[in-house]
Amino acid sequence: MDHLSIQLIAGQVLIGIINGSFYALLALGLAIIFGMLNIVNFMQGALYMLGAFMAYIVGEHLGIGYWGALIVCPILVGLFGIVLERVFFRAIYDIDPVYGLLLTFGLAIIIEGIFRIIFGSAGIPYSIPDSLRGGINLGFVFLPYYRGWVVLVSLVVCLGTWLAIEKTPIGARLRAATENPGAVRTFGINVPLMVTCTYGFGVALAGLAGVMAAPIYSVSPQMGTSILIVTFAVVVIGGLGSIVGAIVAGYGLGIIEGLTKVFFPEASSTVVFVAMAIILLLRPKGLFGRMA
Amino acid sequence: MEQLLENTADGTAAAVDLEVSDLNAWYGESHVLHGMNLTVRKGELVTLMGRNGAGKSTTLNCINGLMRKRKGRIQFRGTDILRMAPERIARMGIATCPEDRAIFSSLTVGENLHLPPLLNERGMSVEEIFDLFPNLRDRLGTASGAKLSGGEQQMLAIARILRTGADFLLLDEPTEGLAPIIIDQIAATLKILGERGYTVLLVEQNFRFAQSVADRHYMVDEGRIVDQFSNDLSDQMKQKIEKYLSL
Ligand SMILES: Nc1ncnc2c1ncn2[C@@H]1O[C@H](COP(=O)(O)OP(=O)(O)O)[C@@H](O)[C@H]1O
Ligand SMILES: [Mg+2]
Repeated sequence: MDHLSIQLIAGQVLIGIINGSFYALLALGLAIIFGMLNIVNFMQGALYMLGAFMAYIVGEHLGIGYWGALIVCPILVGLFGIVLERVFFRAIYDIDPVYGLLLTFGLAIIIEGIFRIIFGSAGIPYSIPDSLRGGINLGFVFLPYYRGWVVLVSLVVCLGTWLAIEKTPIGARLRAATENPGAVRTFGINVPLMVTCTYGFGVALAGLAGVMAAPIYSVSPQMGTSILIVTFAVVVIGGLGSIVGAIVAGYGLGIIEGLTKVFFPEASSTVVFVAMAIILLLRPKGLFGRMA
Repeated sequence: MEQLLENTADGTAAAVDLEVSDLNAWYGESHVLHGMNLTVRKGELVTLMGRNGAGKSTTLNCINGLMRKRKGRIQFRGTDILRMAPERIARMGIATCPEDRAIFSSLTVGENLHLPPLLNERGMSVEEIFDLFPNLRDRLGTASGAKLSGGEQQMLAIARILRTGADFLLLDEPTEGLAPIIIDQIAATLKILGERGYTVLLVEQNFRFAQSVADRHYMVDEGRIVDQFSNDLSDQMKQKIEKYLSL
């Protein structure tokens, strides 16, 4: 293969890893929420958008820059999610999970509608922090610092979350409550509180992804919609509720998407769904789903 | 704390740990407990016996708070616990070993054992637990609770609530489907718990086992207590109990 096409491939793989960083963060949140609440959180995209807008708003009105926003905005989105969980979800836990899907779908439309009314549909630019401007030539590919930073944060957060769930006592409680919440409550563990916190953490991940996305894609009310659809494909491929599955499929699909842009550009936006269809046919529970 | 005193068979007064009166419970529209009344005194081992579907497990789930739709009165050591959330009831010292054992497959055996938080300092140490259930010692590193045999799962389910310091135990058919040698081991454990002052409400269908460990028996049928016996049973009473347990 000649030099040019190696650069082309490396470039697209890099873009794929960056997109995959966002897919993984969003899918991880979805997986955690599904595992614990049995709700497919259709709001994940809207809360990603909310995170990006929060970064813009706290910057404009409070003078809080990117670094502050990176901490503050996920917390705000998480708290917003906690309020929604307390107010709306409590009523629907006992009934069909389909209601959770409809409820979060409805809330997502409302949230996006409000932002469209206030800010219009045009994208609002959000600038890269000065310390992460520029980039480095790795020889085979040029890596903008900011994108490297995004990949790093995503990897650290995904790995940290996985470790916390799989290897710590709190994680053990979470896994146990996912299997049999009633039994865990009879040990004196406050499962309803854990559920609320889990939801808050799951949506805070979307908020974090939103803040990190703001400088790359511009901030707009509909930014969450298209990424959410891909994220659902990621979650289905990884296995509904599987933490590892969400992370691996997130990065994997990002890379596959990137490679498809090199070899068969026309299919790059559909390859994710083709992959989903194939996986569903071969392994209906997804790559890492527990087989019944 | 205000505690009821009641005269025991030998004439001494013992504190009442649990008093259930006129307990009713529903699954949706289906009314399954129809005015349960029972009393468990401190340090006693009392059984609930009766055929499948009589309402024994439902009664335990009313006491531990898992049953949603319930009415009546449940007093535990002088406190009304009927409206309390399960996690609050648990922190008062009531521990449950459920019929399905609730061993978690996504947790290692060690994680299963250490899952319930300690309520006080009075729980058994892990060493004491291994003395009771030596088999568990070698299985501690097992990657999934689901890899244990039925008997090992049952031992683990009992062991993990002994660590916490809870001293009122709800045990739901701990011998179900287990080999005689394991049943003996559980009986020995219950005797030790009795010596240590634990109070136990045991659901059983295995009459021989129940007779070997219990102080008193309640017979449950169609959501009510229909009879009760102390454990010094005449042959006539035994026949009566066999009849309650038969289909
Ligand atoms: N989850 C449930 N939903 C509806 N009915 C139930 C449920 N669990 C038990 N029942 C019914 O309640 C009655 C009492 O059941 P249970 O307390 O489990 O009996 P036991 O433990 O004595 O075998 C039975 O008629 C049973 O069919
Ligand atoms: Mg039962």
